[in-house]
Amino acid sequence: MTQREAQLNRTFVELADTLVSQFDVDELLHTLAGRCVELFEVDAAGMMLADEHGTLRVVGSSSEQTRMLELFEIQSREGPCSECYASGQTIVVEDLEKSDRWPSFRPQALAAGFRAALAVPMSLRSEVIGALNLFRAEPGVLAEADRAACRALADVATIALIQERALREARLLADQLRIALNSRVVIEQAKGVLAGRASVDMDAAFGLLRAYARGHNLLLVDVARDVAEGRLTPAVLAQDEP
Amino acid sequence: MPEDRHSTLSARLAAVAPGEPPLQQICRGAVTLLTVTGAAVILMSDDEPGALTAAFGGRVAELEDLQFALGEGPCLESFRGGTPILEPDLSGGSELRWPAFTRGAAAVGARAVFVFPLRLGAIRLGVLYLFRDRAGSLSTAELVDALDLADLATVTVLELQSQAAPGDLGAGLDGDWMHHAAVHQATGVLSAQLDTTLANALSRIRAHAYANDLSIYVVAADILGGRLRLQR
Repeated sequence: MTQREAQLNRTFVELADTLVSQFDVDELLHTLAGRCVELFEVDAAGMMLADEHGTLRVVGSSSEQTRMLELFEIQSREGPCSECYASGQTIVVEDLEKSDRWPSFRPQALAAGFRAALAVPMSLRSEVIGALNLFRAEPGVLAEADRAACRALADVATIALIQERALREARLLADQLRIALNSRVVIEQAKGVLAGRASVDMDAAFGLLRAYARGHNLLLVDVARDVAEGRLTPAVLAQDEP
Repeated sequence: MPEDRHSTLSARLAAVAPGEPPLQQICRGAVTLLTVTGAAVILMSDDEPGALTAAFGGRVAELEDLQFALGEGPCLESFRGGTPILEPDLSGGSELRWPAFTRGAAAVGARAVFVFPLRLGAIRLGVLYLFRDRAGSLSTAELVDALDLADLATVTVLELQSQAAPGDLGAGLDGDWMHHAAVHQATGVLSAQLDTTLANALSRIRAHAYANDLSIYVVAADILGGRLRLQR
């Protein structure tokens, strides 16, 4: 194994590790951008991911210069990353000076000192979530084997990102479920406490809880919890009744 | 679970129980595809035995009531630990683990119980609860199916919850909630009567039901109806 192959292997392990250990999206993207510059003959790397509305955002760059260029690319809505994201295809420009693509983006890229660009889609099956952008100061873009390695890195990162997104969503739903289940229990308990202390029936008890919550602009479940745990007495609740 | 296995399982369930609500379909599917007598999906939160959301077969509802009434049993253990609980023979020493539950389960006719947590990473939603009226382990193939069914139930619960308004429980996740509501109300009433915490009050209700061999729902109804006044 050459030293570079060993380096590439280490990067794959590094990216795959994020799937099992504590996951930090920013850390993953930073790692990926940094490793691309180390592994391949490129001078800068950056990533864009689409947000929930399908708008691209710059999420990781190997340098501030790249970040500015990518921000410009988003603003002008043209450039290798945008095109790659829209088409889901790898975009290659061997020499930006000899190209007539992207009239706004191209001069900016040249001014930033870049002559060649490669954009690799970050996609899983038919879903494209973003693109990995590589820039070179010299014309010419990576041999096919290196491009394939880039795509493989982008694929691993994509899986990690999609997994993280799904987990985040699931956590949110699970929290909502837990809160909904708990608030039902607390509301029933509070009705019972009121019924026991103030000798009202369950419907009247619920009426008291709701009236107090509305009157004080509080959530029903918060009022119920205070009643159930004895911080709010039936006397206070009843006093408040219009 | 890989997506192709997921869709194969969904297709098998749709063939077994066409047109049924998704969680009900999973329970009926479990009873049809596996050598079990009854199946239930139980949502749980914060260590409290939760409400039965869907159930099919035999006396699974009674079996679940038992755990709610006792506050012990394999579902709670599986939920807390996040691991499956396999008890192929309830007459083989499980009374050390869950003394009251084991006695009650025998009375309901359960000889083996298998519980699979509904989980996704660190997220825990509840359990898939299976029981059989005779002793014996699940085969390896059955274990694989049961784990897949639990995964499918997890995804389904989250999917149903994703349709809910903020603060609400997703439609189809209600199950026999109203059944439990009376116990929570009675807990509140008793805590007011005895001037004690809710946890103590629930323990008292459970203890009274157990000592007098009554259903926890009967005890709750008696407290709410003013027919029973537990003393401090």
